[in-house]
Amino acid sequence: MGVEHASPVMVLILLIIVAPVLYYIRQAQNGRELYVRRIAGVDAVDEALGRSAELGRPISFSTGLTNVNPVLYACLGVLFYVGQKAARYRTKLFVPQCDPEAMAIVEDVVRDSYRSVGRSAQFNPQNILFLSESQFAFASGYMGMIHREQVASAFLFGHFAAESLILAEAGQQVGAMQVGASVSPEQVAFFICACDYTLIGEELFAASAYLSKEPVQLGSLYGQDRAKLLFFFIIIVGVAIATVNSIFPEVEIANIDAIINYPFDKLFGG
Amino acid sequence: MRARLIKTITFIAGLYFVLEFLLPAFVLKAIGVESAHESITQGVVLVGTMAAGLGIINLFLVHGAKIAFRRKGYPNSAALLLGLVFMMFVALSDWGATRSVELTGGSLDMLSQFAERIAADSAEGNETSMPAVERVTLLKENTEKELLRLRSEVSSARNESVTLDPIEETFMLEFSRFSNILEASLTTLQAEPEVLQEFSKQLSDTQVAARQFFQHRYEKSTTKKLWDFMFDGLFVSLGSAMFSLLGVYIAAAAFRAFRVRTFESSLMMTAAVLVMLGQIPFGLWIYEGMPDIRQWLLEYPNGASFRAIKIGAAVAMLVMSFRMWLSLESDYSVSEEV
Repeated sequence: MGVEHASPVMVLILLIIVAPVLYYIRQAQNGRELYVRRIAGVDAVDEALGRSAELGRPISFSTGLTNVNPVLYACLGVLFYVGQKAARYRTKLFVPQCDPEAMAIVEDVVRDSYRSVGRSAQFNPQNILFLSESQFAFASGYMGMIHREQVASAFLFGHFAAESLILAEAGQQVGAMQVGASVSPEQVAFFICACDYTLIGEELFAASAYLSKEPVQLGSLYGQDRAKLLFFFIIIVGVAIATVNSIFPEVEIANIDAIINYPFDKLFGG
Repeated sequence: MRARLIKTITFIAGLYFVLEFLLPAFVLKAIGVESAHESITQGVVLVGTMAAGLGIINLFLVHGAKIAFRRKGYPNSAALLLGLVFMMFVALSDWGATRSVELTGGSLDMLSQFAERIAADSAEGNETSMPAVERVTLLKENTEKELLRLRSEVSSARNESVTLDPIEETFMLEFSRFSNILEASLTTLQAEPEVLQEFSKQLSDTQVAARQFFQHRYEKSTTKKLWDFMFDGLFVSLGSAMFSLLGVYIAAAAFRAFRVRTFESSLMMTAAVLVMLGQIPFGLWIYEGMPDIRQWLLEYPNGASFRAIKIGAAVAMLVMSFRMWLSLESDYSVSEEV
């Protein structure tokens, strides 16, 4: 059963996560240099775009089954960058879509990316293709597009399910250079097998910051890395409590999830 | 101005969901937000449903242009649009047919509930704005009217077919029997609880019999057969065919990935072979502890890395959500130009 309302400790954890993010965003905006380590998969984005331009073949960028959620927004940063490069290199960019809501946002972002480099006239809204809302109909549409257009590079960023390998194999069949990124651990394995480079989990969120070097994104990335220390601490405490409870059963220390889930009602004597 | 408007709407819309999660249930109840939650959630669903139209518009624009300018592959586009329009027509016809079956004898169902209410009021001695005798007269009049209408519907449906199949014949006889009983009861209907309860049951039986008759006719109608062919016969089968491709692709991808070139790929291949052997009886024959090795690999190293990815992604998603809510996001999401 999901959590319906936050407990006091959850509110506290949320504040602890958000505080360093806001702090580092402000720091980045004030001009502080923030270092982000190199991510091979993100470096490969430029390589793949260059390859498309050299071969004179199109680029494909798919957000898979992603609907309007934070994952889509993480992908949009990369899409904006890819759109700018495609416009500069005069390479065709196809963005096949599964979700109509996401499609409207994606179309706007690609249009903006072309406009930002002064190539608005090159933008063709018909390259933002709605294929189908159905998972496998989308996959078959995607396969057809990849084979027809003979894309030179394919980006698979976002939320994917069982169709992930079908999409990645389609790119393999036409010899496209592929970069995959998914927050779903189940699909990451497929991407590792079928794509040239794979971004795992949160690297998808870091990609946009790494490519754009934008203060808000860099600060946020820096902040969330600091916030993760809290989870590291909670895991250590949880393991320690579980170990003590198993060695000395008579001690009975309250488990960490009992503390986290302690409701407001009980706190106020309800 | 446009950017500021988008930011304000985003903040207000997000504020509701943030507070709905952060505030305890008793506070939400006290300020009356809890009762409005369902309407707000339905509003969000409604916006999403409206967006489905965007997809259809895009399909018509992209493929319509291909057909209009006779671009490469335009026959495929024509087939797609024809398929789309035909499927929409079939789906709408099927929806209309099922809806009509659902509504069959709906008024008899309401009259049955009305009879039960009169019976309950009489038994409990409740005072009502209309005397029981008048309510029974009203019930009688409406039942006569509805029975006449339902009989004429069934008889016109009967006249549409030259012959009836045995099941249809049975449902038809069933309906005739229940409707005759109901008609006979009309003459003896009184404002007595037992009589009214029996009458309510007869109303309900007649309605069920009529619905069964129409449901059976719908099951063998062209509309239903066309829908089954298009959806189960084509759409689902094609989806399954696509899914089955996965089997071949997994083998091809595994072959590429498991070639022993580096230490990491050898490690991956060893783990994969152990997991596969632990899954099949042959593995048990090689070594009886194989399923335990498989279980350990899946639960510990694999489980730990799954959790690490999920925790990392969850924190990143949470932070991204805050950025979206507070509109700290990049400019591309709130372009000033129209």
